[in-house]
Amino acid sequence: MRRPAAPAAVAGLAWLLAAAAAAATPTWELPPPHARIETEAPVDRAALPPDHPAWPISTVLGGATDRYPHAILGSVPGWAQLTVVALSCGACRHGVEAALVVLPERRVFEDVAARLWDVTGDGRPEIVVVESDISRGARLTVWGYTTAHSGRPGLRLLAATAPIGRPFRWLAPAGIADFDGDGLPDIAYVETPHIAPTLHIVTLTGEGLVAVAPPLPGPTNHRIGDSFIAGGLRDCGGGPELVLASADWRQILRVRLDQATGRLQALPAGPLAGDDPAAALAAARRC
Amino acid sequence: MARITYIEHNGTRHEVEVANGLTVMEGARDNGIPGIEADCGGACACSTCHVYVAPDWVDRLPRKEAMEEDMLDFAWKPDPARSRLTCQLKVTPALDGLVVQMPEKQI
Repeated sequence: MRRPAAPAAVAGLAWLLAAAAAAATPTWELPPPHARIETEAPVDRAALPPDHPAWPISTVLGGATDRYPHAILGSVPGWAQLTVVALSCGACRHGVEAALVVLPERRVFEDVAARLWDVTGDGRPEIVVVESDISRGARLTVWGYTTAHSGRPGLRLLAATAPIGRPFRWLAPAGIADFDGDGLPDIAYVETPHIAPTLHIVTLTGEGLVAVAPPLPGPTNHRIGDSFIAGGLRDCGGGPELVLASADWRQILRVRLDQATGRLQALPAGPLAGDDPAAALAAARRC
Repeated sequence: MARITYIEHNGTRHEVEVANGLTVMEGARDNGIPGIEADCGGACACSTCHVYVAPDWVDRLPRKEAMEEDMLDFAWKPDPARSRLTCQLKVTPALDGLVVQMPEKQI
């Protein structure tokens, strides 16, 4: 099983999860190490305001399942559950706490990570992860870590894109940045990266996840069976841009949102040569 | 099987038979009844399957679990007594005759 976090970070997460379990009666069980994907975004607690709310610091995708037999991510299975560990609120007595969501039988998380991304722009991370329905395919979901009036932590679905509409159709997140210069984060993802790939950029509003630019056909960031998503963001001083592959995986593309026209622009950035195109895309992200 | 009446906010009534083992949310979804969105699919993570239960049914339903109570915090204009999340109501013969009304909107 792929484990993206560094060994030291994994050890840290294991400790945090154990501490969370000790701090509150857990309603979840930590999946075994070989059957989970962990993602961390540690914060400097001293830098948080004293009255900060509960603050997500790590996620765990667990409950490996084959109930949605897509296998688009190779060795990475579908996941039935998402656990989020958070620093307890500034005024709370617990150090850490955790919340869990278990998906219904007809859905799975189909992703390589549950990302801790600040989608609302308030500095506190939300959780961004791809979820797939057995009859309607994938959608991008944004989850918030909540504290109910009872004081119990929970995960709440804040927004989601419309499902692609067919089973075995997937999407691959590409990055989060302020692409349109309005001061708020925008999420980039490639819909159907293997069949007519199309880059979408959306932002969270009161109406849900709304497009900030017309979709751009062509760029992609995933090959069937890869257990990772290639390419990603870079900002070399001129604003955020995405480093992606052309649909035929022969070209490196730099994609940015032209704020004058409001449209996405893809610029060729060299051939995608060699045996390891993902490494070439990673290299192209460096300034 | 239970006969359940779903009343839209505008008063439109839908009386349908729902199979045992489904949830009241799934009964609405499978019969194309508007007003129950169930964005999270029944994971008790969005409160978009919120309804007001008819007063004479409040005490005849299973009690709310803590997770449902918490998620109702985020529902549109919840009523402490009558609000339920339909994804948490499993259909049994005991629910035959249940009447629920949808709120003006689901958050």
